[in-house]
Amino acid sequence: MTTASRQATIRFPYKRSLGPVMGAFMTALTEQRFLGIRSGDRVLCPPREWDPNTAADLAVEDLVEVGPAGTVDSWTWVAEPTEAHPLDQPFAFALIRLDGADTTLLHAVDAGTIDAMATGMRVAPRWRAERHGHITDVEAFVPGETPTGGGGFPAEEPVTMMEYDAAITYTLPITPNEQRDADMVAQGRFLGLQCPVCSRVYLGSRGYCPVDAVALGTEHELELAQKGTITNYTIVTPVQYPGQTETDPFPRVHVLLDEHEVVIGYQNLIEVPLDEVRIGLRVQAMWDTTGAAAELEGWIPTGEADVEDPNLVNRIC
Amino acid sequence: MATQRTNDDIAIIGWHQSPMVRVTNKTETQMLLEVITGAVDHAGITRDDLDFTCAGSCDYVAGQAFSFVQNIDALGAWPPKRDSHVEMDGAWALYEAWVRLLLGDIDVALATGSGRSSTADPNVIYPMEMDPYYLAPLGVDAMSFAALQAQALVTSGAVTERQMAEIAVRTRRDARSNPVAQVSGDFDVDVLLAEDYVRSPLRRHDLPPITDGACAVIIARGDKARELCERPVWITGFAH
Repeated sequence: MTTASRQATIRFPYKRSLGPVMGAFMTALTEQRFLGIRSGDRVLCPPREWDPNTAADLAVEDLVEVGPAGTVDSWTWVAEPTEAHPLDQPFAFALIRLDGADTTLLHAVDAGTIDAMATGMRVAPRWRAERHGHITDVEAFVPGETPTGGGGFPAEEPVTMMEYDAAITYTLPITPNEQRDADMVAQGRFLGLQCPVCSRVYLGSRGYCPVDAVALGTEHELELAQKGTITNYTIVTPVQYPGQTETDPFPRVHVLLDEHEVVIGYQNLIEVPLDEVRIGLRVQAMWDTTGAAAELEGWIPTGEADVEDPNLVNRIC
Repeated sequence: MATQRTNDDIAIIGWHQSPMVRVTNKTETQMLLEVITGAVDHAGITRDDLDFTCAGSCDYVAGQAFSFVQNIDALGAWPPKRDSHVEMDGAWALYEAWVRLLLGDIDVALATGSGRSSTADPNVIYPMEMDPYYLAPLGVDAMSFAALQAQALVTSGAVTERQMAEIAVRTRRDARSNPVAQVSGDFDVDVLLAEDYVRSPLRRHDLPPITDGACAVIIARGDKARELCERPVWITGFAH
């Protein structure tokens, strides 16, 4: 089955505070050293702020150096690395018990081939030349007893923050309802769907009545009006987070369409000073028809008198 | 002699599964609409008879924060119901619904599981849910974790790769009686074992296929279950 689809990428650009225990571990990585933390008669590496077995609070004073070499407790060969993996060539993920530690650190082992991997094998870190206090300061572990790589400089200040910038690209199917809705919009028209049970009307992309939980299809379609009344609004003052392209305050309005009473939410309002945006303002759709497919630019005032209805503000859907 | 059931015993009285497919052209809400309607029909009740609902789904899989809120549309949103969501699978949702009925004040609950795993690479999605300091930056995926556990079992002698392949052969054979299963049929253990590892010691047959689908289960307390259903499926325990 081939399905029409669209792609969307979501970025997750996090900055995380590390706290005293993980901060010390990450700082030590820049010095090409590993720290574990003592809990009773055990040493946990990677170090935790609490003992996972007893929930005991663990003290920074109990951090101890471990490694740098260690033993592989378990491993799996990754024949085809993903974009999220630390190495481009085939490698192993391994649970590595660093010398002096009682728990395992999960990291990559760059062994070349699966035949070079075995439970119980000895591995040592290959350090990056530039280290920032991040788990990937170790590029990978390699077979043997001796650390490799490294050079460069340790952090000048204790590491307190880490960055994590991931992205996921989604391929989302376009449902038959969404396709018919998009086809209508391309003609500069709005598609509606009327529930056969309650007679409520929804925007055509929805595909079901949420009140009666029945599917809506072509037999329930009708065309919606191009005019309506603002029922609610907000003025957005943009904050410059990643992906925000607006720089000046802008309005977003809910429009209650005439005739079938559908609310079309979070719309752009054109040619209205911000202090004149108001509930009850009459507006009509403004389409950009210069391209092959019409695009809704937003809504402009019709010039008609405002609607005076105290209940309008309750129409948010 | 049949075990004597009390009103505190809880039973499955209806269920429904959507087709389990590699790629769907439906929204998650549309898939849920179909399986909830199927399950209430199977149980011979209506949505109005549901006292509690619990949904299992994953925002990272859906690619949208609070994606489960729009899934409530599939329940029939009015009048409002006692509702819960777990960022887990449908089995976990069923467990919460079962625990909720054990409280004894309501009789009928619905649990659902849904997701479209086809929309992105699960091996890129699931590391996002891991420990953000030590694991997520390495992109450690669910298949790798499963493989590390499997390797430990194989090394200890608790299980062999052949035994794992035999499980896949048996479950795929059993799946022939399920018309909505994505993977089913007769397979040969030696042929499966000749395939390459995806994450050693796991091969493709050891790992779940990327699947779009939804399922719904309706459970009821003892007296209500007997009233609504000729042969209730009694839940005698949960383990994890």
